[in-house]
Amino acid sequence: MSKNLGTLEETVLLIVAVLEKDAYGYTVSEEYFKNAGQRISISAVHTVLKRLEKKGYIHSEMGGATKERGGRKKRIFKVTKLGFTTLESLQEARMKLWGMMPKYHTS
Amino acid sequence: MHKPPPRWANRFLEWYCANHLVDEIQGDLQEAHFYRQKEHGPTKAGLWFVWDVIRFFRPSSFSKYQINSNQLKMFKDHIKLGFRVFRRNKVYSSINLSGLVLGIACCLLISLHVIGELSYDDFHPENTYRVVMDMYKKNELSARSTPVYPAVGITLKEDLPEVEEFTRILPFGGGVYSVETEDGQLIRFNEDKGVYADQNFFRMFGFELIKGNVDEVLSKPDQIVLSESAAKRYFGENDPIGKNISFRGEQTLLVTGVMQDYPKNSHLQFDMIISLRSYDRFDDWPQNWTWYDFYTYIRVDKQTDITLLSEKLDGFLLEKKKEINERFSSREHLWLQHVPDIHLYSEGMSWDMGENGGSAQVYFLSAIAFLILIIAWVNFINLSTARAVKRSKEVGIRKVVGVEKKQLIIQFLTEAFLYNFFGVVIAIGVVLIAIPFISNAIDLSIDPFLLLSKKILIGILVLIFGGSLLSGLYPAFVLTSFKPVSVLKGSFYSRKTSFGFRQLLVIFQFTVSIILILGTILVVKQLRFMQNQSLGLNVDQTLVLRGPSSSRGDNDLANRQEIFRNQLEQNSEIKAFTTSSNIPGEENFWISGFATNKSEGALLSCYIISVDDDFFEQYEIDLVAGRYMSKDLQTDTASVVLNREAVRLFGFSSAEEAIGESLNPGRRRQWKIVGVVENYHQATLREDLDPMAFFHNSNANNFLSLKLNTDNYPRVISAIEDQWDEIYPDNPFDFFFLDEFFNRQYKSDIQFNAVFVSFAGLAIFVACLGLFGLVSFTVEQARKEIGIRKVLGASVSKIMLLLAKDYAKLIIGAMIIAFPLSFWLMTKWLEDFAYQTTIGVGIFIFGGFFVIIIALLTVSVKSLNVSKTNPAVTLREE
Repeated sequence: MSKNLGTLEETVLLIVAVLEKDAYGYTVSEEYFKNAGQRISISAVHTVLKRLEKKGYIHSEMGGATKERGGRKKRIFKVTKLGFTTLESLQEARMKLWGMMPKYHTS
Repeated sequence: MHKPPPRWANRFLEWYCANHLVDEIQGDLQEAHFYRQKEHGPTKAGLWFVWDVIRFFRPSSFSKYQINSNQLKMFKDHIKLGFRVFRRNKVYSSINLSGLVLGIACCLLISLHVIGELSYDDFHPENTYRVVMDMYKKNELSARSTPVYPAVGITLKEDLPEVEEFTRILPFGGGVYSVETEDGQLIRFNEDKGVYADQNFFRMFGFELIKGNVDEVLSKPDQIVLSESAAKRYFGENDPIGKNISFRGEQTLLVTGVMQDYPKNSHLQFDMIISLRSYDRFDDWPQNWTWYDFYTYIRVDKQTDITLLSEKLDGFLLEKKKEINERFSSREHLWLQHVPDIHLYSEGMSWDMGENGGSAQVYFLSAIAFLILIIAWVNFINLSTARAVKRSKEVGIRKVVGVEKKQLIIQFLTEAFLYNFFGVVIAIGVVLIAIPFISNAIDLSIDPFLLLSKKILIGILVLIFGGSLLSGLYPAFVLTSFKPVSVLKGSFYSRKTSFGFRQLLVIFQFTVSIILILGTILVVKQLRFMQNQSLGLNVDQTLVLRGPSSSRGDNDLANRQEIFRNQLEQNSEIKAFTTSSNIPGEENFWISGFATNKSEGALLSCYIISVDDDFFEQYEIDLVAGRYMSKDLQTDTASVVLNREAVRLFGFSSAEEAIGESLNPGRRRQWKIVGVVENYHQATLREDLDPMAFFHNSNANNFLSLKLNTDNYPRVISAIEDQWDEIYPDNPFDFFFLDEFFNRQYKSDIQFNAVFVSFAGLAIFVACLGLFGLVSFTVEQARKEIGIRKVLGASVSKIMLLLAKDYAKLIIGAMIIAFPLSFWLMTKWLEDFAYQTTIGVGIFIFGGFFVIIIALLTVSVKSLNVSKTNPAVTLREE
């Protein structure tokens, strides 16, 4: 399976990392809205999370239920080691490219 | 206050969602709903929730049902096996399948046509009826008239409380309509779909008015409603409302409405409706009981008992017309036709609007479709059983291994199901491909979208499942009843099986095929007979112009006709020229009652045609007695020429006796009979000869018939058109050739012919497939027998004869059943025609030989193959 990360996948992976121990469908979708300024549906988030898990970047376990959820449990996602290294290498590659960016004068 | 998300959406989610996912999905959605409600309010949050639930409705959320049921596995197995068996013997399987496909496709095609026919006029308000009448003269039914008197509608509404509303249609709105455009151009057309109608027309029928007020469009004199396409013809893209259109040059009508073009499945087809008040001398005619040109429709109260109302109507006119009836020894009975029934059940009605009356044809076609389908299933049964031999080992081994009989039956039923299912699927494809060809070839309207109608879809399901059971049960039982021991030992059937079910099936198939073939020959023969019969007149090389109807004043048309006539006489390519009020092949609406000295006071209905003096000579209508009329004799305006049929009707014993007598003797308007001419066929040979009275009127100008002298039609037509345009710039130039026009009346007969021929062909083809299957079956059994016979010295021809003999018996049996049956059916069918061809022995001989030859050919193809095999091969097979 391809280990390539799409833009949406990368963003979601980052959000999971940021949310630390509180990353599940609803929070991820809200966080995405806050940071990307765009809505994606919860079902789309679920798809992405599932795909990331299949690729091994995150893993999940069932968490506690709350009243707001109508007594339903959460599936909490955490970033795996592979996930972190992938994020880091992506970031590194990007920084490198940024370093090579010529200075533009904006007048 | 928190409001929970919509319950049904939650339930739906719980229903489809897999158990291990429901926590996270439902939890996330409910949590989202909880917070969204705070932010966006309950409505939006609720909708959002529903939308999310729908978004989650996808395969990845569904629970995965584990297929661990044995039966389901077996079922999958059966299907797989079905496909394998199909592939293993492609020839048989394709024959089998194609038979089914043909049968089902025929059935579907005909059903589509029939459903189209049945759907006529289903869009009108309920409880709408047409009032029609049976007219009796001297206790003899003289006509079943669709139009009635203008007073009928009015009095019905006054006298009978159950009649809520009535509307009358007067069919005289045909003629030239013209509109002058801004740049002075004259747009002119001959319209034949024009009528006058009462103002509540649009309240009575389901026709849609696009522009204009339903109650006002026809309420005043000189108003007209156009159909969309007519409006486009005259006004293009401009809004026609409030514009003027001129009718026959003399009357200016105001366009008040535009109606949608009438759907095809309407027995009424109008392009222009003029308010009845615009009709010359309109006065509502509440007392008029003599002029029957008004198509009258009524709407009755919902609670009305139609039988009771019909009884009232039956005696209605006896009461109202007592005096007139007694004086002329006539009587009339009104009766009702439910509007949706008009199209199919108006056989034998006179002066009807549109082509109505085809119920017999529809029933006939349905019967054929059903028969072909049955033949196809019979085929399937035959072929599947025939294959049983090949599969007997398979069945034997299965049984030995321990498969239950029930399972085996299910297996074979599954195979039958697969055949029927794919048969239907392919048949639908075939139908879709065939429809355009059929519409082109025989002008039969079939709407492919009806395939999606509920009736057809249900029919298809019934076809698949019913067909599977019908065609699958017998083979299933035959195949599963084999005894494993005898099957595996390899001998369990001999050629000489007793007379069994399969033989019966073959006899049935061939009985049907023979009947269809004989029927086909008769249908073709009757059509030929009608077309070749002498019409009593000559319509060759006759160009007919529709007469001008747009005039500029009282004597204008007569004057202009004189000029036109003079010009035509200059043209050497026109041999003769005559004008008349009617031409052969055109339905005659002009009928009137006359008395003679022999009619015992009764008024007898006779068709009227106005002609000029060249009419008889040009059409080569022979004179029997007396003389033709002549314009040189001033007295001929009071003369009349009758045809033989009229002479008979009026009670004269011979043509000579009629000469010198009068029509309406002693009355103010009377005519002297100066001549009698031979009958000629005004309509097709389906109809009887009509009594006709010819009056002299050189200005009768509905039709101008030109006898041409040349084969260069384009040149002469364009010459005539030039002259026409000069003299009649306000009238369109419309022409047609009379022989084509006349033959167009046979359109429905030609259609029927084509349909019948093709279905009969299909039926015999499918039956032969079945026969082929059966032959293969027997021959397969008899391989060893044939081998031994050959070793002992039998020749190939001897063996073929031996095999053919078995089938000859079946075919002859089928003939014995089919001949009397088809004779009876053919006689019935011919009864519809006034002029019938003879059935004759020839049909039976020809049809019989045809079937025998086809059947024997089929038999010999397979048996030749086997009898030519080297006996060593067959005998070694053990």
